[in-house]
Amino acid sequence: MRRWIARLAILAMGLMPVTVSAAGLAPRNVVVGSSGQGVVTSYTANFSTATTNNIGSIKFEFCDAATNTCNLPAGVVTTSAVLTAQSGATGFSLVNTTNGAPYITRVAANINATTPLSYTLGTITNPNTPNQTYYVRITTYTGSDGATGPVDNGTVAMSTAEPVQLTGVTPEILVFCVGTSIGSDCTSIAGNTIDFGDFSPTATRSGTSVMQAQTNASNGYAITVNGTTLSSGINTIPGLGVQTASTLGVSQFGLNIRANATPAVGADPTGAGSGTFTGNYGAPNQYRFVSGDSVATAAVPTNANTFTSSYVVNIGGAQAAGVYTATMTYICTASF
Amino acid sequence: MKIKNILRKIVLLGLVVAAASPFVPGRALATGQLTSRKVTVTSSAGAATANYTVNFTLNTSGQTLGSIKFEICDSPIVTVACAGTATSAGASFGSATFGSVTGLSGSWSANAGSAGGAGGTSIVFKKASAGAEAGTPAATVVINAVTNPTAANSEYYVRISTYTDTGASAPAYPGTDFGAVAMDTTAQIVVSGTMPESLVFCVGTSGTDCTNITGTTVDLGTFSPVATNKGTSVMSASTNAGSGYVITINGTTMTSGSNTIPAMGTQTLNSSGCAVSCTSATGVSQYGSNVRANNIVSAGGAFGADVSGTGTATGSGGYNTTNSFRYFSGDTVAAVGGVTNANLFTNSYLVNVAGSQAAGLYSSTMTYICTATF
Repeated sequence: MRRWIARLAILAMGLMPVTVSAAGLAPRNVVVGSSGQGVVTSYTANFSTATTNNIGSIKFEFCDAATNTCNLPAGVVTTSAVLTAQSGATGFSLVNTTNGAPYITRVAANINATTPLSYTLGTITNPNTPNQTYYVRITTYTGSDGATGPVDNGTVAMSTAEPVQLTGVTPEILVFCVGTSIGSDCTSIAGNTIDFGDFSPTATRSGTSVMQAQTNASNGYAITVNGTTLSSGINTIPGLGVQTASTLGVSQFGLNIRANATPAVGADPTGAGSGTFTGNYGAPNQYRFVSGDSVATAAVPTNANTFTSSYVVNIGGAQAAGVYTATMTYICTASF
Repeated sequence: MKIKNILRKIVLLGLVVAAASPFVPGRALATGQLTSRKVTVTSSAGAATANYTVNFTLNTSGQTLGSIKFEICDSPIVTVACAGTATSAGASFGSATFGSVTGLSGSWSANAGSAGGAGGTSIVFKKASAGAEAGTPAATVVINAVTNPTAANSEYYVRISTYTDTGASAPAYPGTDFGAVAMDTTAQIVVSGTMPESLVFCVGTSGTDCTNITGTTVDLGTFSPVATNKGTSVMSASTNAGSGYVITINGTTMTSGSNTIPAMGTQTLNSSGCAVSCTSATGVSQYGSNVRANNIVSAGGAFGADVSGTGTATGSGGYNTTNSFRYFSGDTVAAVGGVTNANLFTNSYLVNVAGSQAAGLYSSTMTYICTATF
């Protein structure tokens, strides 16, 4: 009788649930290659062991809750996962047959407590809901089957994030402006009048205007100067039909796009662009004015260049008295 | 004769009833009823050790008072044995101690279990010497370390009786004044919950927290060499991870086919350098972001916002300076080193283009990754 009681007691003990307490893996995190919903990306789990033990497998369980029942977050796919990196304890291979619960396995071998481990699983599909919190439960096992003999565990909370789409349009661009003064760009250009003062056969009168151009036209731009020479009623100061030096006592009106010494007027082009003066208007101290002439060009897309147009006026002693005016109109044509 | 016998029995029964009636609660024979009675306990749990604060007002004016007896009983009725074996089972003054006596004259002390009860179910508070009370004072007696009845949700009673002597014997029980107070032990309600590992993170284009943040697209408009284009998105994060979180920004710079708008700032991971300018400049192709409140004239003034919320996270490195921008994929834009409540970050995006920037629809997808370390 006593023997039977003893046997029953042993049997009862065998049927009693075994309580297993696992220690926490810490510190721990999971770094993802992308947080976008539904994105196929990599998961790198970093964690340190809490317990010295023989470890045969490590399971990574994707759950919609940190504790209790583990439901697979919608959209998660781990059956195509691959083990792409391992450190701290190596020799593992991946078993990905159960969706949402891949584990790495090897012949059990010792891992000391507080050993930092890192494993990267590639080709895992994120949950398909944006801004969704989900969890990866990490458990080490003495067994190689991802189930037997849990040792340490830890849960990492994660979240998908809605990717932010940035959009903007760069349109066809031609920024061109003309004035008599400019700061850094066309937002600061101003002025529209150049007063040469009183003409004199013994003095050259000069003045400047400025213009800036930039374009993303693939064939660049061309700037032409347009208008009449200085006129007062029927009297005119002849425009220079060819590049000519400034000469006192000779009625002449011309311009160029350079820094000049005779007279001291003007400036060479500035700016980061590739625009430049044309040959007819690109020689210092040589002036010309033919309406419709191209004064500056760029052959390709270019950032801004600032051009200074230098005007010179000389008159002969016989130049008829009067108020002489001319309107210079610059036209910039971009070829896209 | 038979009728006489019946009448005699009726008279005798009436005498018995008359004699018994004062022993119902508060109506003891020649005994006044204590008024304004209550007992306040520091715990109502079964078997708990609690302090009992007993309040009552004497009924018999000017009574000579030498002692007060307190009993824990199954019944409040003075004619019923106190017992302590049913609903009050387990209750005990055995370990009780004197707390205080206020409202009554004289110097008081306690004498646990000395009279009127067995097994420690009574305690007597006594004066150093008996003396008359003035009128009918209100008294407060504190009895420390009383053991409650064992059972939960069990009704029991504290009986209070006063005596002219210090031994709680004169006049005979229930003494000069008497009163009872009904009490109950109660079941303890255990409230529990689990706070799991938590990371709440969301990204969108508008909203204030993860319950209302929505949107996916930021339209930066039509770019121009003489103006600055800007836009914002928002993100919120909180965690109970002991080592906090880091948020990285990931993606390409703005691209249209093979054309790109160059990123601002030194192009190495998490650099705060500005080898490539961090400052907005119209007419220069540049793309960058930060998490600050900015004010740039060419962008039309103020845009963006500083971090808000009750959390402790902050912007990081080159993303945390007003009017300074950078972009390098993988950079940390915000972080916190410990547990934190929610913070709302506003990501400000800035675009300038040179005049030569190729025409086209430029786009980029910014993916923010929040990694918590538990």
